[in-house]
Amino acid sequence: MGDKVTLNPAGFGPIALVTERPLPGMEDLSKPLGGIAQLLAERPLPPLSPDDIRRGPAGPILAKLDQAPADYGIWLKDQVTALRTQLTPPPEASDDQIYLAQHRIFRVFRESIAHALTLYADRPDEQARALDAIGTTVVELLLGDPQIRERWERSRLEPVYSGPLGHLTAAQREAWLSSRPTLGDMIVGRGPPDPFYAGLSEAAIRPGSTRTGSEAHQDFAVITDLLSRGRSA
Amino acid sequence: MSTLAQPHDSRVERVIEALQRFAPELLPDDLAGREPTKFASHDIPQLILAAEREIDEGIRALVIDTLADRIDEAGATPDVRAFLWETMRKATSRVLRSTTAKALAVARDEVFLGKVRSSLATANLVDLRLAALMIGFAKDAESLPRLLELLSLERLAACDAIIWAIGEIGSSEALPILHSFLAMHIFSVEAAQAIGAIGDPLSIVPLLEAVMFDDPALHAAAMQALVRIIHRLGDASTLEAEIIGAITSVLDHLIDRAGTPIARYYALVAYGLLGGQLHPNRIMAALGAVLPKEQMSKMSAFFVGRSKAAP
Repeated sequence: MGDKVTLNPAGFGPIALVTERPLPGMEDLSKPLGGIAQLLAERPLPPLSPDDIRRGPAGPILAKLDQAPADYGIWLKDQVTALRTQLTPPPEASDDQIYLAQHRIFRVFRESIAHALTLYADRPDEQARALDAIGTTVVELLLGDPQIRERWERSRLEPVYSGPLGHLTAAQREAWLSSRPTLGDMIVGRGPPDPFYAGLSEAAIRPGSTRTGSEAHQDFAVITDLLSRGRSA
Repeated sequence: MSTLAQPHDSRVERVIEALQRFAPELLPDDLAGREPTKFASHDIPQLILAAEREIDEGIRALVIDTLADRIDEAGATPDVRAFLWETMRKATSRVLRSTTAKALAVARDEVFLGKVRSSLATANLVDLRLAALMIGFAKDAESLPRLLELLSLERLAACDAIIWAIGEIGSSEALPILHSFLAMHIFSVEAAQAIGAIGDPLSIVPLLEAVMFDDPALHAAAMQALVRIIHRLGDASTLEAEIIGAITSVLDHLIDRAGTPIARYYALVAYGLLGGQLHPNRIMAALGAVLPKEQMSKMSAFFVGRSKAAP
């Protein structure tokens, strides 16, 4: 086992994340990040005041997180601290390692969204603020590091002209390029809530698996058939 | 192809036991021991009657959710839509309002859909997510171009919901952008799931490329997508020989080495659909099933050199 990263400086019980090999061996990062969901399940978020949050290591990201609800902000800050520590690619990082770093960020991002929507299932205003904070933070993580930013932008452009996107129509290509954001665009959408959606909760209708019962039967029949064919082969 | 499990086959029973332990969601409901809900066998008129009689809004929400499934299969008459609007108007709980809104989307109620379509312009991300989900429940192809436009960094916090809706619409027009998300490892699990829902063989190569990346969740999603594509295709022999060769070689690797039983399960299903054959011990090992004692003894004897015959 290798380095131990202790997070949560606000002082209500440390979260210990253990990495077998920290950077530059980025391939081992799945363990600490994979553990976030488990940590969340084991350790419900305690209520915190804004002062509790500010006692943690301040910084530009924390300032953004201050816009988020208090208890959500401290949790997100933990994730950002961990990612900053672990995801800064070494200078010699390959494209694959950069992609891996991006991927890890998006994985935490996905978990963050699910967490915020559940935590604030009955408070749409706070849901909106939490989503703002998540989006802003992830954008900063992705583009705050010049190496990630440069390769991110390159990776968004390259496939359009070659490879799997080479067959895009002109209109599709134009739509794709026009959606490519500049740093100035990195403001996560905000707007007044629509009364039409008042009283609706995503948590009540969030789609789970789209696999149907008949698909489950079909798949299992293939497995039994495979077992049977293997035996007679 | 055989139908469901032969109960007398101990290997099948061991596989069922293993899946119940490691990934019960993969098993059909009857084999997983999941009881159908009280309303599962009701038809639309029975469900409406049950919803009207029920006082508890939580249970009414369950009835309405089952009603949405029935509407998805059979469509909705104007009377059913009127009932849903009335329920929406009177509902006081969040859960009942939400499931009724979902049912209106599934019913493709034009008034409801018109409002939801216009909401795709909102800057409020919570509303945008809800609107995207409703578009997905309605499988509203008219909204596809707008959904594709919305997939940008400015709306990161809604992208997973938008990608899900795109998958539900099921149009191959969305594939270039979904393939690029897959290649860039951005919302790649969601992109793979949407690609599976679309089920176009054009996605096979991008999915195979995606599993070269070390990500267990992506492996599972990509393998499930591959299975759905092959199912949709019906006859896998229509694929080019080179494609079948590439799929087989990737599956051969993942069956033993994928990081999750879910990915290994779908890799086995895909392998079977392509007509492959595997030793039953390998299948069982891939799924975490306990080998029969006789097989374990043979393997032990082989490994300690008491037997020259490989088990």
